[in-house]
Amino acid sequence: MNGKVHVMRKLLENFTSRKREYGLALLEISLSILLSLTITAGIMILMGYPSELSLAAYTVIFAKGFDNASYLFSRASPLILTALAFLYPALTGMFNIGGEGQLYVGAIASLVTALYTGSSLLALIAGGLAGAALGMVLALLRVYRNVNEVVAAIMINWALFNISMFVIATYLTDPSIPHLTKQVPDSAKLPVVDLGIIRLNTSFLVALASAIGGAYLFYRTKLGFAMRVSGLNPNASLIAGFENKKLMLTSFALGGGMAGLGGSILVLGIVHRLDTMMMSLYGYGFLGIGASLLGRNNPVGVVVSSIFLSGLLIGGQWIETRLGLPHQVADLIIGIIVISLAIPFAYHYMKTFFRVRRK
Amino acid sequence: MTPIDDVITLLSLSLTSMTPLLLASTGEILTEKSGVVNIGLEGIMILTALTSAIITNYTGNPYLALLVSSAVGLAIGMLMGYLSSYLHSNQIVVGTGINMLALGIATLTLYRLWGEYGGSPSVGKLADLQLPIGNAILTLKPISVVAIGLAIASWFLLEKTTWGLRIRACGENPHSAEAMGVNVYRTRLLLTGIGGAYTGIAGSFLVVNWVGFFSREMTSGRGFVALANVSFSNWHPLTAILGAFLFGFFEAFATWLSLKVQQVILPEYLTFLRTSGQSLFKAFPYLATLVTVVVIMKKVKMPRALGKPYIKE
Repeated sequence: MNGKVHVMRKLLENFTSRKREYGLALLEISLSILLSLTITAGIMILMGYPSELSLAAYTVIFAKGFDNASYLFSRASPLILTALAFLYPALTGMFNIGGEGQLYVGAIASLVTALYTGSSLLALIAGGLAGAALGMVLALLRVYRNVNEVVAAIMINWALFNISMFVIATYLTDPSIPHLTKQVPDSAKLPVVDLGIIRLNTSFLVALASAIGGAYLFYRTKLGFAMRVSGLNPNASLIAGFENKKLMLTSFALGGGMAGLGGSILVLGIVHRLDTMMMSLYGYGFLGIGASLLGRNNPVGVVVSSIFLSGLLIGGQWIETRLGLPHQVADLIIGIIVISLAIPFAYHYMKTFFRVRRK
Repeated sequence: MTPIDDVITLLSLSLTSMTPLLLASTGEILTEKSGVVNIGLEGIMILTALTSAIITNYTGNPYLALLVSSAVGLAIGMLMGYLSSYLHSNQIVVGTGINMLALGIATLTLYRLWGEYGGSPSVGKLADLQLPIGNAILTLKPISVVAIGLAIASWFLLEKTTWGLRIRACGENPHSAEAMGVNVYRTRLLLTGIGGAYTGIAGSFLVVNWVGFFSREMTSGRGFVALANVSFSNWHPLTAILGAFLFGFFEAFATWLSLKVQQVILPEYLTFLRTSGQSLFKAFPYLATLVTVVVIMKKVKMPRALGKPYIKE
């Protein structure tokens, strides 16, 4: 009991000592969200949509996007994992844009394993390993052939999109419903736990555990420390005796594994079957990049930002049914949030501007 | 169909497919030589293709569409250049943001103008040049010629003029360039803009000289293939012509093959190629591009300050 109090006090001290830093981060995030909402409204008005429509759209997005917590959390689970897929390599100084492809192979590997073994644990492991293997490919190309990981990842994403389509259509379809695959057997489905206030999908717990595990690994272990050092300053890391190449490979395998796991829980816990047009899979990997940036490349921040972005997306679907506007308004908002997040200097500039004015 | 016909068809298709790749990669070489990496090419292509479809649809003038599209490309490039030079942004992140936002804008506009999400109505196109070779006819797009001309001109600018030297200095060692009296920020801003303008012509080409309408999926990763071509060509505009032809050929070959399997007699075990196997043909150009880059990549030398924000002391 005493130990627990001690840990809590430590955490609290840690938090208060960094209050300024966290406050600033929060300010920047809120500013970019506000900026994005304003610009999006501006673009919609420029396009000739009536000006009160964007206000109505935002009302619907924020009212309907966040009112069903059970749906929101289950929708956010794969996104948390694809965001972690971007985050872990980013902490080691590299860009993993390949989350999309890694999610595809994870989903298909999980589905096949679930169909043959009926075990959810084996299916989760298979999905994670498939994603990790694909992530390793990117890291190997970068480390040993000096291939830009962004270009390689995009080529692999597009190739895998088409190859997955082929695999699903040729080997996995249900003969009675030709545009869908066979369903995950009941024994392999991830259960939904009824907690009274909320029906919690176990997928969310898997995602949450991955984020907490990642936070522990990167901020409390020697391996994680080495990975962060090599990301911040590769030369210093070499001098400290860390093996940068191995660290890159590890972080990419870890990231790929997260995306693969994202594919797994999507299949096992949420959609239970895939379709030949890949509608149920497409987009999580790309969105994960935005979620990770919005979460300030911090495992806990990523959970919050993924839930926020999922809310925007769900809200986007509601404006389609309520107002007849395309749900891609949400994509637009997210795109502008990402761009404005990339401008640390602008905030810095604004900060000095206000400080000068105050004097 | 004689073999000669097949060769000519493939050649025409390759020249067409290479054009947007060549334009975008020449532009990106100029940008990257000045030290900025713009991975938002895909987004710029989507937005300018959309612009072209709108302009041609309402004015019926594809030349105007080309002009406005390159101006739009210039504007987005300048935005990217401003963010990455003056505001020291992370270039990969801004590029990713541009790609995300482009799809959103495209969909909203399509819906607003034509009430649908998928694509625009058909618009007028530039006429093709028909060159008879023996009995076959080689189809050449006028913009393909422009693209090759621009690549040669860009090579001349970069390697043979003082301006070129200044641009390369910004990408190799911005501190020395500044000491030499070059305005690094302004150079990067301009060159990112020019790269965007080239990519704008590429996007416009897709609509006014090739497909004849806009659809959201029409760029299908071409911006990224162009990026692959930049490293493949070792940041050299003339080699980029060769690279673009190679990658264009991969795409053309896949298209040609997927049509060919519909015509020829196939053994029983290969008939899947006519249905679900068609996806495999689509995957081919990306894999071939990746393999080519992997084989060649070890030997290239990129601008030393590429992708690093320059911070004045």
